[in-house]
Amino acid sequence: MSNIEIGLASIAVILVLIQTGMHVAIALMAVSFVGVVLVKGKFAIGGALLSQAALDSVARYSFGVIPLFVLMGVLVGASGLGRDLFDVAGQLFRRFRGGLGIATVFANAIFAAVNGTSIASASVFTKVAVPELIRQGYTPRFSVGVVAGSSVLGMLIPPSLLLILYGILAEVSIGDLFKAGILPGIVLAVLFSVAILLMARFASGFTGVSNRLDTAPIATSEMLLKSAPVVALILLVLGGIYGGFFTPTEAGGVGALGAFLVAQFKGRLGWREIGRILIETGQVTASITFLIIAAHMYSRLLALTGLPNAMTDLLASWNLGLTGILVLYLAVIILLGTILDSASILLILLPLILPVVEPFGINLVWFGIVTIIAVEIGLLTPPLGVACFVIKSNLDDDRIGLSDIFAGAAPFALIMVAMIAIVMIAPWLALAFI
Amino acid sequence: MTIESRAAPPLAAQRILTTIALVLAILGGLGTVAIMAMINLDVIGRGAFSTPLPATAEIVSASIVSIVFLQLPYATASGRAVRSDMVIGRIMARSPRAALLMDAMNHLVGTIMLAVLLRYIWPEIESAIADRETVGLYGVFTLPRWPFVLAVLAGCIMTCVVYAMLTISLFRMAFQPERHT
Repeated sequence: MSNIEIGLASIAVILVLIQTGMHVAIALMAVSFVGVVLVKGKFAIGGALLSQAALDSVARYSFGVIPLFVLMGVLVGASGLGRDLFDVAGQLFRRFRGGLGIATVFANAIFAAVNGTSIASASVFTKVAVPELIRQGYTPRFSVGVVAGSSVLGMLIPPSLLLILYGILAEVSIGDLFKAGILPGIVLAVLFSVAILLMARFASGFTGVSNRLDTAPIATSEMLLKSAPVVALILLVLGGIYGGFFTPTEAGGVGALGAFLVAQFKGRLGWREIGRILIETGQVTASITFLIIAAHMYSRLLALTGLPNAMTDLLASWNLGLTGILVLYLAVIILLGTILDSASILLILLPLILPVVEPFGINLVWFGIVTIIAVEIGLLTPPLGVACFVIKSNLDDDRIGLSDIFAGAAPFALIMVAMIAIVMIAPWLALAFI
Repeated sequence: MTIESRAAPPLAAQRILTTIALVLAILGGLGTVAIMAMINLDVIGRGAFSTPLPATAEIVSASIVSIVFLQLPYATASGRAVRSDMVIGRIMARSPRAALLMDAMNHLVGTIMLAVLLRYIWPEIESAIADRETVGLYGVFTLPRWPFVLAVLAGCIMTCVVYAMLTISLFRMAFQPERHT
């Protein structure tokens, strides 16, 4: 086998292994090791690759963002801030048709600014929002669909683990990516809200009709009290990064301490709970970082095989131009999104595509935002739609099946496709704050 | 995540290993809290008193690997590794034995890869300890490197052991049909 064939085979083998349920990091490690041994003919070189990636690849200050933002997110979740936000948003939008749906999107957008994963958003709002939406007369399908759709904001609005992962893989400033995610995140949230308004008016068979506005209004003072901790955390973290006071790692540390104080103030932290938070943080941190270590090995293998260069030549020979390549790339992401999780798509595709697009002189921050939106569509598409799975597993209602969740999320997935087009046509949305 | 929850009643050995993994994970969690504290002291010290904490960046960088490897065994033991269990879940519905065997094979590959990793980081760790390497800024503030690499070693060994333990237990379940009905 030529080196290029080894590279191509490695992609196919990884896709198959992941489908068999092998842990993604293990699949990447095994294929990288075997691949390097095949290319170089020596076990020692494969071994050196493993040990170097394991010991050195993540030993950088910027990697501190991962445990710190995860810790902050877990603390925010434990403080019950999600419910507070949902209460306040419900009050703000109660006069609109589809108001509680819009409130879910709004609360998710704000929650996303203090929390880095869509999974956390999906699990919190499944418990907080879905029962209330159904109680107010929305269809179960629409209720879970709104939660699934708006949970993607968690990864687009900073802090975001996917943006961090992209920044690490593409060697782009995580601070810049964070600033770039803000406007597209807001625009997407607005598009979602407009769609809900329109659907509630013209497709009320899908959304259901809200007929019970029996919730007691909340006093303004209580609304302020409920939203104050979140606003303070957002100002601290995003304000700190945007104002240039903190690096993202420092913002993570300060944000985690802030979230700890909020949770403490709200009386949510017993010793048992602190233990649970540390364990949960560790599980997310370890699985994500181990994946990055494995991805590091894999990108070294790909570089050794020369596949990225061959890809570049091949695509150049097709004369697609930048737009053609981007459309092809985004289509591949959306396609892979149906069978792979978000992180795996980035790990496999980025080492291949970056050498192809870099000669065009595109802005890699903007490219990152486009990539992340496309990757996130995969959270909502069957058969593997991680956000929908999370909602299903957090739902205490057996009448709502996985297919209902996918159907409910479909309009939101379509809006995200439109959002990709918008960011491609108007790159300033991503680049305005940098 | 659905596969592990069907596990047979754990053996004593399994309980002990899981407890060790849990202790390592808590140490890793405390490590995370420690770097959080360092960063805050650094930020406050720099902002309020113009005296940053020495060598914060270097020590945080060196800690990440240790923290991750300390947390890896327990994350693996609780089935939190990133994976796609859609296909295996469907096979599980038709033929539990086939699904369990498939999962056992996957964990076997995990065991082997961790053993390979261990084989190749061992000499590096040995030399880091023998050469009395340090972490930090030379002449300003340094810590010995051995606790950091020892944490990596402990985590790597335990992750390998946990993978082996899960492999064995999945094989056992696959060949004891009455256990997973």
